[in-house]
Amino acid sequence: MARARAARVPVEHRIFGLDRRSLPFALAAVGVWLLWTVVLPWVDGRIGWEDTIRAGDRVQLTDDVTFAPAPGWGLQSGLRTTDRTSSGITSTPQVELTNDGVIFLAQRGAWKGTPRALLDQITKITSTEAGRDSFELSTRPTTLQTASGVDGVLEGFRTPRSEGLIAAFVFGDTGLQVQVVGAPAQLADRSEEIGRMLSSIRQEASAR
Amino acid sequence: MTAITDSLERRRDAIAVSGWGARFHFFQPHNACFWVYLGLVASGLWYVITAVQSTRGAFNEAYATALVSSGLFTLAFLWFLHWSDRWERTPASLALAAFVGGGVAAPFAIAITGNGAIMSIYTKVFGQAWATDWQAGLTAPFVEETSKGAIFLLMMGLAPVVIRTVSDGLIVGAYVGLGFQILEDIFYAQNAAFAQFGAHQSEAVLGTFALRAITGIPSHALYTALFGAGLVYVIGTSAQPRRVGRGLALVAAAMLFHGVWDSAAAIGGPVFVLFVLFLTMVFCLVALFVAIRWAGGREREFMRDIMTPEVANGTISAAELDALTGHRKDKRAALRTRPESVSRRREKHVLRAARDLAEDLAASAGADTPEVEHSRAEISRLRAH
Repeated sequence: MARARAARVPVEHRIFGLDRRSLPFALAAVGVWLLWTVVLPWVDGRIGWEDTIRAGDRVQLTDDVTFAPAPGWGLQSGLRTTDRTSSGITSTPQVELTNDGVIFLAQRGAWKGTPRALLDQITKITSTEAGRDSFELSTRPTTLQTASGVDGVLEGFRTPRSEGLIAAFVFGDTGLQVQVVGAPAQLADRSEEIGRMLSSIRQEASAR
Repeated sequence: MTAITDSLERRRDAIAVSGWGARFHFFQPHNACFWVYLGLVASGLWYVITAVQSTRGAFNEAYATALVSSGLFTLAFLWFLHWSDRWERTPASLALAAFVGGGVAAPFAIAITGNGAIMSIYTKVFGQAWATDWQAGLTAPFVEETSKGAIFLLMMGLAPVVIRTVSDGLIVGAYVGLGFQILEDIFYAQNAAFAQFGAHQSEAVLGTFALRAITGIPSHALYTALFGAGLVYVIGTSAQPRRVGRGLALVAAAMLFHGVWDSAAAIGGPVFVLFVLFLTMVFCLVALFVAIRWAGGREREFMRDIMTPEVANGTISAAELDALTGHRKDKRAALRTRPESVSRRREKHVLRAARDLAEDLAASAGADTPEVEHSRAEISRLRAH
């Protein structure tokens, strides 16, 4: 009985069964939540995106590997060869470009094996993440040679909603994977550009 | 007689005002903070489960390594926090609630979305190069510190009697920050493994973990300890008069250190980056020392009011009371002036036992309960040896 009384909120502090004194703390926390999960994403959505690749632009895939995205694609993340940073960073771990719903994603990382072994490893990770039931390879791995003579391997895949390709290259101790994903129709429309982008990957003579 | 009555009255007042000895009950359905806390933790937990489940097969080794290494780091840090919590022990259930809120709700129900939105805005407005340099340092201090601050406020709302002093702010804030740090480390482990295409996962995770542990002084635990202490000053409680200037200084310090640490490469460039990191570490330690010093003032007053009657009844000496409520030199003085029959080590035990007595007195609201009598008897036993 005494316990029930102790748990009851004094009448002067009661509002809808809650203790009025707890409201400022609760509302402040809700305010922070609203600010970062509702207001800021809304503001972000209102700001237009305009970082289009122009003819002649090259983007850094690693500190000494670059490629030439097709003009008109939007650079979502990544540094151009002409970009200068205060930190001295010349490339980002991931490069992402989009055009017409097609995503071109490149990622670098430490790798000491062959391009084929890298492709197998990427396929394993990607199929696990996507779910084995919804991910299937659509083409067998084939050799790909860029315009500068770099050898890589390439395979196609499909999921219930999209199609795509995975390419793997190795430059010294650095592996590079490229994934291109999109709806089948859009992907077909851009296939020539995508081929040229892959072909333009090259290792520069020296790092900047 | 009047003096004794007065000192007992002051003891009762000190216990009532300080909230020392107050208990914490997590289940508070009449408290709005309880429901907001549950909602945020549930939301964060859903994110964690979904994220881990989608990569479960691919990064099992990384997750296992991260759990073991982060678990060991947590144990070491928990021991440190328990040791630092010298005035009034934070109830374990409150510490756990702060840890879970900081680890699950703050990053995954609040900060992760905010971080993404602000970074996207920076890239759109200032360009890729600028964003590469500054987006981390100009995002995390605002989003992550306020997210953890929100969890700290919920803790204040859930435990208004327990969290009343700046010292409480430091300790509970540190628990919130520790939770954030550990869960963030586990997700960084996934990133580290992913960055090597899922190969050599243990080595990748341990490398990242070792780097974060070595440079761990300016960590989320420290930032949120400062932020929490600052919030107590800004809000003010019955035990801590409002001091907005000090509070804002601590809040700003937490955000500034976080920002400089995350932007060290851009500030120092390739040449001075290590120097910037070192300086930040030094300033972090100085700020923590200052905050502990500020926090100690009020707690010392409470300790003096609670333990002064024990000098009158002969349980402890005046020098021992000074040692309990003073600084290192007062402790040294008490050790010097101990009775000849008591060893230096034994006198240190007496001082520790006197703190236990203060805790028991606070828990009994100053009444002579069996626990209080036991603690007094312990002090006598230690002296008699």
